[in-house]
Amino acid sequence: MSNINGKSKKDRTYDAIVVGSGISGGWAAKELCEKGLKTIVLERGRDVKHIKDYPTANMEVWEFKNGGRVPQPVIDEHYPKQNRTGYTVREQHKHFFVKDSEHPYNEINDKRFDWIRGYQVGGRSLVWGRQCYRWSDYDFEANMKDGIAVDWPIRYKDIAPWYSYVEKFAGISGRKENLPQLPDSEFLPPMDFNCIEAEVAKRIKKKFDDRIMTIGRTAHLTQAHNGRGQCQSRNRCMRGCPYGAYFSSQSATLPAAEATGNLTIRPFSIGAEVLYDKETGKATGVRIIDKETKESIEYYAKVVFLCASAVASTSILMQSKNEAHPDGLGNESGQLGKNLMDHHFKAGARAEFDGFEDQYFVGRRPNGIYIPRFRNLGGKTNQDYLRGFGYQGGGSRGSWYEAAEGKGFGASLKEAVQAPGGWGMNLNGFGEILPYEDNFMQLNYDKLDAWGLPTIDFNTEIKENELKMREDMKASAVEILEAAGGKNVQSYDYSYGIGLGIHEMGTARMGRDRKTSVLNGNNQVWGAENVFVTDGACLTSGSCVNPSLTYMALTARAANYAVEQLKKQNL
Amino acid sequence: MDRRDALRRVALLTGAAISAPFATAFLQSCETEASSVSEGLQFFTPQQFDVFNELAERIMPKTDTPGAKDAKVANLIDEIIANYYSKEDAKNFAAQVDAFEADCNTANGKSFTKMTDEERDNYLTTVEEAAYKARESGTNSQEIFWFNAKNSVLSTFFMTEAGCTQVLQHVAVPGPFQGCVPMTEAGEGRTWANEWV
Repeated sequence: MSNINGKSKKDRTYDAIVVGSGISGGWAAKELCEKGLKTIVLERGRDVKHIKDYPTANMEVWEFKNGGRVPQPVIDEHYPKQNRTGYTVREQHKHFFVKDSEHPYNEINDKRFDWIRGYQVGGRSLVWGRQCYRWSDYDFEANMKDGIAVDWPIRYKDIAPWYSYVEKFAGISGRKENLPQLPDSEFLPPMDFNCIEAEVAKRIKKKFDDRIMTIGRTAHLTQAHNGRGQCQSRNRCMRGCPYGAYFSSQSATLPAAEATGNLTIRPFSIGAEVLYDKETGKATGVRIIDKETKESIEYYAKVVFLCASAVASTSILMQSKNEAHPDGLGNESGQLGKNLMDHHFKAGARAEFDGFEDQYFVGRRPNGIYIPRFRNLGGKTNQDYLRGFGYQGGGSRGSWYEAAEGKGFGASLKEAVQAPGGWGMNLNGFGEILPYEDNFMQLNYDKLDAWGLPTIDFNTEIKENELKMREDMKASAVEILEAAGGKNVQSYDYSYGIGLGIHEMGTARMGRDRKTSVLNGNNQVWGAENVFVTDGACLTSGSCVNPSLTYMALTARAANYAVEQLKKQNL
Repeated sequence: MDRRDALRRVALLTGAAISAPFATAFLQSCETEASSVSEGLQFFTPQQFDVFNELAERIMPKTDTPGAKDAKVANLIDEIIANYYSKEDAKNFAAQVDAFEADCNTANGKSFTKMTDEERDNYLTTVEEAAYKARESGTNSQEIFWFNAKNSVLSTFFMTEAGCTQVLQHVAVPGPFQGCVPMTEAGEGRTWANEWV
């Protein structure tokens, strides 16, 4: 087919193809464009332009019907799984999440999987939590030391300069703490603790020699940066920020890519397969299905970056079956689709605190506190489970709910709700999930989606290691809050299913050996070295810290490598 | 703010199931005239609306700041029940309003809408007392009208402009976060409104 949609093969040929425009795809686009490659970004969703397409960004809660709550019948029909977070399905921002009714998936063997997605230009970089932490050699050496899965093919020293590189562009605020298990980033000034957090942090430092509380490290600008504005503490981030104050593809990477003149974005382009030439042993491009017309269209390039998000990138590889790769591209090892990970959370504790009655905060801080991992770092920190967890959370003052709990109505109730309530702290543990081969995804060709592509079966659960860790997450949170003088300390362990952390990782892991991994240490697909996967799919273990900063660094590193190799005519 | 607590406290507005063993028959002897603010009702009958409107105002009255009637809370709740409740939960809510009015007639010999504010407040004190006793002895909160009414009135009031800006306080663009300041420097020193319902 030489003329598709009026476009000749030449018009559909670029230097680079990037599939996906989220955290990873935006970075791939920026780096490849800035290095002079004519790059097409194939994004399955609709276009969303920075600021112009943030319809709810400046709306007050009273400007939404029912404060933004969506009728239950609509949730039941269109968003039953997206609703599992408890906050996704609101008029404020539901337009940046998918409809489960349009994009179904299958939870097999009675096992729950929560797949929370955003299909638009920018992907989930529009709605992410923005917490950014560097991984350390505690993470990169973990599989090797524990004898689990396979060894990472890289170490911290390989990625450290790239963390610096992406941080300087993106703008990450936080406080230096000089911890080996949580390396410091290139920081913009940290956000403030509130009164109780500052006090509890002091008390923790006094009472414990092995743990600290710091302010969350977050991709928010605490000063103007690279032409983007300072965070105004509105906490309406998931609607898109008119100040560009948090990192998204819209606010940061895509404008940089655009400025080069080398960028083409094609929305409504669903990645169907990587095109492969068995003579050359290389990919020649990507076939997409147009979301609206359902036409099959081929794009060609010298190098392909799959940044569609972990499950989607792996699906594309699985769908790229040919003679040379009967089980999918990069699947010589049989590992494609396996070792699906997330972060488990919702186990921790909360407590009330006396004091600071005459003090308050100003602003709706879009960030919390962080207690870095203090378990399984060697010696007496070692537990009867592997890996570790950190705490997110924060302090707050009681709002009207607390004031209205007890008896009272009328003028006295009004007075009561007008006075800020007592202080409280919440510590919510975020823990690592081990890579298990039998936590996997697979394609289901018996249930096709609206575009004739297989839907996805998920078979995932947390296992004994995670359950033991959760006990510690609760117990340690109680210990910390009690030591810090908290009263009425209550632990909790709420229902969690893999995927609810919205950090899908694994399924196309990096490794040292093509027989046991999908990618090498440069994120190249074994057997198709001009195909790079740099999103969540590539991770060999999951760490207990948020992965997006690592996606950014791996993407920038791989793009740099890809272009170097192209220049040397190696790709 | 703890999202889970928020969700638990406003469970009513998600249409959580309420099983109410109340009679659904509407009290024929009630003679309340439909008031003009009850125009455009989507769920309540004019009589139910008048009862609930007065109740809402007693829970969150006009003082030197707006109250439930000023903020049209009962109208908003009417719209919410009509559009966001399941049919069963809506039916149960109406039944609870009817039962409240019937009990009021029994206890006071007149409609809630015909009492003075002082009479209403005295009566509601007994209603509240009974509600807490019922809950303590094991009745589910969602079956007790007092808690449903108070929760729905407050959560609705605190998503109105009046509730958020004049009773609580709210600033659209706070600026860089200030973590710990004296109350006198925290705007007008009142509780900050939530952006979440």
